[in-house]
Amino acid sequence: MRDVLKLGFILFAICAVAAGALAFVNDITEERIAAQAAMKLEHALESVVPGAEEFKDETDRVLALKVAVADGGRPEFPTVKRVYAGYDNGEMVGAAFACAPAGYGGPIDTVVGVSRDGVVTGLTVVKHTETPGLGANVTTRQFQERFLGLRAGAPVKVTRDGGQVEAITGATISSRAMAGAVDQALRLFEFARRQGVW
Amino acid sequence: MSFTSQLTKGLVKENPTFRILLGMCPTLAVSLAISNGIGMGIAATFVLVGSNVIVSMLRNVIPSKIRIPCFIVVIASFVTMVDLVMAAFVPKLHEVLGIFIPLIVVNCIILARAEAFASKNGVMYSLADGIGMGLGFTLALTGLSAIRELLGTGTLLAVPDFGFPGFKIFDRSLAAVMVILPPGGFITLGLLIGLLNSLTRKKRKAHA
Repeated sequence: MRDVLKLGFILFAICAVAAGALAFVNDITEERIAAQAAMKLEHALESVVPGAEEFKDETDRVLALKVAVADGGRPEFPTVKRVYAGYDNGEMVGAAFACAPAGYGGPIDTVVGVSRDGVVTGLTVVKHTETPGLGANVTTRQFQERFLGLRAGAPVKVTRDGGQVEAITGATISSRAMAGAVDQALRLFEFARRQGVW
Repeated sequence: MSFTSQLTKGLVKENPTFRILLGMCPTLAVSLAISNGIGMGIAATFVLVGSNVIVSMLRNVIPSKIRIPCFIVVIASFVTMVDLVMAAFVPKLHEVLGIFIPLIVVNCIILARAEAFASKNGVMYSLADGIGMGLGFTLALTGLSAIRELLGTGTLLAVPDFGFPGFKIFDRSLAAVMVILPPGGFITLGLLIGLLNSLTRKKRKAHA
């Protein structure tokens, strides 16, 4: 019995020291990590909506729309997480949609840029856990360029599903996820525009 | 027993991947491209050295009955700290190595060295053991990845995180995609271990 208490106490002491050390490290790094993440998002937004001077987080405004038209069979946008509108001199020039479609190895954090007139202007992957050499190629410019210039109207799909976007060889699931993100971004943009948000 | 022999034993004689057969899970998971192999190797070496040194320093404090939970607390804390510090101060490097760091916690090489070596030896020897084992792991991963990357994609040294497409050796359409999928990993690893075993057996026979 004594032994159990003694061992328990030693383990407790070691855990307490480890927890203290972790708290200390977290304390000195937390702010910097948050700043890095904010900067990364800022870069991503700027890269997908050219010409925008500043971005405003308008997620609440746009997603609130869904509730307002709840009776009329409201559209669903499950992969869209945040919506940012880009402004230049107070004029709205485009919107960026932060999406997290389900890829092969987990969510693919993607930002899709749509211009004022509803055309895909950019696409970038912020974070992903796809297979290196296969699905990880969603980060390549070569793949992302296949989405540029698409507009709302026709659903965005990979060619295997009867769509217009060529998938990455050996990574249909990852490609399909990206196509889904672009599709939802375009549809949400169209929907929000028709509702008179922008 | 000398510092140098502790340092070099991990490279071939007691190579953690090919000889001790530890850490197979991260080995198979990341050995898809040379850049991955090196990245995982460096990150694991870093944690291995740190955990070996700390465990060795604490070896007289930790009672043997609860040594395993103590080692795990030390390793997990160390990995988390490395992750946080890298994310805050070297974000570029963290972007590349970041995905490997959580995998290190489940890498049994680290726990095995803490248990089999660092808890019984002094700090300097444990340091050498950590460096040697880490380099051996890196070497094994790099070798395995080189084969899989070449046969599976037809290129070498691609680093997608830096936007570098790699050196094209042959056309992608001729590549055997299976090699970079899990079954190809098992087959390549098995063949390499077999090759290494037959080489060392021959050497031993020649000595006898």
